[in-house]
Amino acid sequence: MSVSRGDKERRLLPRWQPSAVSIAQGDLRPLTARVPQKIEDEHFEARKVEWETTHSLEVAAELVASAIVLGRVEEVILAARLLAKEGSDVPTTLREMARDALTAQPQSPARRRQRPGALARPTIYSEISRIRHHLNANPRDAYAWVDMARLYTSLGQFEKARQAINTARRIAPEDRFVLRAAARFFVHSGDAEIAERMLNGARATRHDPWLMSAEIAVSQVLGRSPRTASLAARALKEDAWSPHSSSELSGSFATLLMEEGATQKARVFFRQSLRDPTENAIAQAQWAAGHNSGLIISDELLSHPHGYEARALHDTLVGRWDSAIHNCWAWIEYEPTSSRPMQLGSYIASVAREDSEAILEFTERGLAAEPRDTTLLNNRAVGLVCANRIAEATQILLGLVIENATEEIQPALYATTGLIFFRRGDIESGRRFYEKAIAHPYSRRDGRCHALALWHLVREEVRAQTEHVDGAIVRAEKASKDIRLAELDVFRERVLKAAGKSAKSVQRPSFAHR
Amino acid sequence: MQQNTAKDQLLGLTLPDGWKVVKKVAKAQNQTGGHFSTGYIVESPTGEQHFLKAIDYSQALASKDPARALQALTEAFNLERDILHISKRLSHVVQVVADGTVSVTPAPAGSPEPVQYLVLELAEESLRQMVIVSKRLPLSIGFTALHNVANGLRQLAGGQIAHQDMKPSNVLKFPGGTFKVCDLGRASLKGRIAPHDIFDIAGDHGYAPPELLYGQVHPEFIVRRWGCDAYLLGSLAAFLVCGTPMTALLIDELHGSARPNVWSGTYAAVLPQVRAAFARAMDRIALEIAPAVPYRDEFLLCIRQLCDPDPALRGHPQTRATLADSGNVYDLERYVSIFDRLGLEARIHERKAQQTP
Repeated sequence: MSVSRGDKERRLLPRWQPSAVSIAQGDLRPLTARVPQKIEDEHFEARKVEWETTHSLEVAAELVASAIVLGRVEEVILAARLLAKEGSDVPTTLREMARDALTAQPQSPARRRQRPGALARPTIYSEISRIRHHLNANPRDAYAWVDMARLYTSLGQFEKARQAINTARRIAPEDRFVLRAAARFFVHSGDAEIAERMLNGARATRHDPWLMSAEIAVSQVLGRSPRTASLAARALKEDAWSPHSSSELSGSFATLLMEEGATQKARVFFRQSLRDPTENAIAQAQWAAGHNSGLIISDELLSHPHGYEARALHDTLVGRWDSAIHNCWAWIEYEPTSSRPMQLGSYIASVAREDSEAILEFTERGLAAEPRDTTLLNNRAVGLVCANRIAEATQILLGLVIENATEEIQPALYATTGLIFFRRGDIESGRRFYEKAIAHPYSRRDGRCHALALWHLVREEVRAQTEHVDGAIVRAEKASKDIRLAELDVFRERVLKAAGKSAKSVQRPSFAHR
Repeated sequence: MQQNTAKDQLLGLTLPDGWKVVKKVAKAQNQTGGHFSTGYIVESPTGEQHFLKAIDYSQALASKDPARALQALTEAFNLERDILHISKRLSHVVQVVADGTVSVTPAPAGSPEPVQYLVLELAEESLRQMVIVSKRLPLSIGFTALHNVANGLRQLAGGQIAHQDMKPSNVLKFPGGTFKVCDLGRASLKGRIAPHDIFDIAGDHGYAPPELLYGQVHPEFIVRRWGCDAYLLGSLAAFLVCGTPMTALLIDELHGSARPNVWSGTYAAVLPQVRAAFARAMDRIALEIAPAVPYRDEFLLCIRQLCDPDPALRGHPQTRATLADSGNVYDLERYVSIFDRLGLEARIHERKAQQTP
C-alpha cells in the first residue's frame, strides 16, 4: 500500500528556490514598499543637454549608464538605441546594457545563466561546475554558495551542501535568503535542531516576518512552541507589513492555530495569508482546505505561475489524477530538494492509477536525492510488485525495519509486506500482515489509512480468488462509509469491478461540493 | 542653454596677465561648475596654448535661491583653486598655470561683470573619447592611464585631498602619452568643509560607489572619501574594457526591486544582493577580455578588490592589513606598481601579437 506522508501534515517551511528566482518573486524585498524614486543629479541633467547638442556615442554611453543608475532609462531611449544598434562600434557589454535599458526583461548573458532550468543530472553537475568556477573568483557571493548547496542537496550530497550552506552563513549571517535556505536545508537533512538554534540566534528573526514564519514551521517540526508566535500574533493583528511580506507568516500562524483546534481563527489568518500570497502560502492554504478548515481556494490563486504543489493537492482532492501527476512533475522541477512531490506523485500513481511505470519513475527520482526515505522505499516496493518484479520489492522491504519507521508509515509497510506475500502465493502470511496494518494504532486513529488498508486487502483477496472476498468487502465498506477521499473512491470502484460487484451499491459522500 | 552671459563673451579678449582667448570650446576637458562655467583655448605671449575655465556669477544671481547659489559657486571655485594650488607640482594632476578675474560686459549690452578664470594645462583628449570613439583601447595604453590615475589620486591623498569625481572624462591625455587627473571641483580637503559635503554623493551619481547610492555615508573621511576614490579607480578600469563604469554594470545586474531608487531598507540588508550582482557584473567584464591574455586574471582581481561593494573590504588586502590601525587603508601604492607592471606586460604581449603572422 502506497502512502504520501505530506498529506497528513504540512509545515510552511521556506521554499528553497535559486536566489535569482527568490529575488524575482519579490521574496527579498524590504518589509515596507517604496514607490520608485527619480534620483536627481545635476551631472545627468548636464549630460542630457550635451547629448541634445552632440548626439555622440561617448555622451550616449555616459548618459545611458547614468540613467540606469538613477532609474531614469525612459529619458534616454534615443541614446540607448544608438548604442544598441547592431554593428555600432561600442564594446559588447555597453551594447548589451543599452539593450537591457530598452527592454523590460534584461537579457544579459550572466542573467541567462541564472535561469532555473531543467534539472537533469548532467545539467545539475554542469551547473555546480559553473557556480564553483564563479565562486573561485567571487568567494564572498553568499547567494551563489546557497545555490550550490541547493544543487548538492538535490543530488543527496548533504555533506557538501552543508559546507556550502555554512560558508554562506558565515558571509551573511543575518540575511533573509541565506537563513531561510539554511533552515530548509537543516530540516531536510534531519538537523531541525540546528535550524531552530540558528533562527533563534539571528537578530533578524525578531523583526522579519519571513524568518518568523520559518521559525514557527521549524518549531512545529520539532514539536515545540515557537518563540516568535506571540510576537507574530501581535504584528499580524496590527497588519504591520506588506501583504506579500506577511503572507507566509500568516499561513504559518494559521497552521499553528489549526493544530490547536482553533479552526475558525485559523481561517481568518489563512485568508490574510492569501491577500498577496507566495505560492508556498497558497499551497499551505490548499492543504488546509483538504483538512476540514472550511477554506476554499479560488481558481485565480490556484493559477499562480508556480503553484504546482497547490494545484497537485487540489487535483488530488477532487480526483483529477492526470493533472495531479502532471503538477507533481512540475513541482519536482520547481523544488528538487523536496521529496514530497515524489511521495505524492507515486502515491497517486499507485492508489488512483495502479500505474507501475509512473510509480517507479517518481520513486527513482526521489530516491536519487534521498536514498533512505522510507515512504519512497515503500512506494517503490509497491511499484515493483505492480510491475511483477517481486524479488526486487522483497529486497527493499528486507532492508527496512518496520518498527524503526515513524508511526504513520508503519501501517503502509505492513500492508506492502502483506502485498508481497500475497503475490508470492503465501496468502496466510499476506493476510496476517494486512491485518497488522489494519489493527495498527495509527490506522485506528486515521480512518483514511484504515479504509485504504482494508480495500487493499480486498484487492488481494479478489486477485487470489479466496473465500474471504465478501467478508473483506463488508469490512471495507463499513470502514469507508464516512470517509471522503477521492483516491479511495476510485480504488474501491476498481476493486469492486474486479470482484464483479457494483460500485453503486453503497451510498458514499459526494466530492461535488469541493 | 544661455550663451550671452559675461563668461561667454571672452573670445578675442586679452586677459590682464597677457593670455589671449583664441577659441571657445563647446565642451572640453572637464568643466566644473556645470552650467556656470565655459571653456576656452588661450594663448600665452610666447604662443603656448592652454585651457581656460571661466566662471561668472550672473546665472547664480538669476537662480531661484541666489544667495545660496552664489555661496555654493564661490565656495566651490575657491576650494578648487586652493586645491589646485596645493596640488602644484603634482606630476599626475592637471596643473593650474594662472588664475584671475576679468571684467566683461555681457551681450548685447549691460554693465560690466567680473568673470573669474583658471588657466590650466591643455590636454589632447579625454579617456572617455579614447575608449568610446576609438572603439577598443589597447590595454597597454589603458594600464598606463590607470597607473597615472592611481598615481594622481595617491599624490592628492598625500595632500589630504580626495578627488571623488574620478570618471573617464576627468582623465586627460597629454602629449607624450601621459595621463593626468583633472576637475577638482568635487574634491574634499581633509579638515575643510566643502559646499558639496552636504550631499551624500559629492561627484557624479552615475559613477558613485553603491554604498553611497543606498545612503550609507560613513562618518570617517578615509572610508567615505578615499574609499570612494579607490572604487572610482576600479570603475575606471572596468570602463576601459566595457565602455561603461562599474556602477551602471552593477545596477544593471540588480533586480528592479533591489535598485537604489526603490530599496527602502538598509545597505547591509541589500548587500548580499549587491554582491551577487557585483559577481555577475565581474563575469561580464571577464567576458570582454580574451582568456589567452596573460594578465587577465590579475587585472580582474584589481577591479574586484577596488570595486568591492563593501567599503570595509575594498582595496588591496595587504594594504588593509598593514594600515588597519592607522593610515589610509585605501592607499593606492600597490596598484600604482601593479598597473605599471601590467602596462609593461601588455606592451610586450601586444607587440608579440602584432609580430605573429
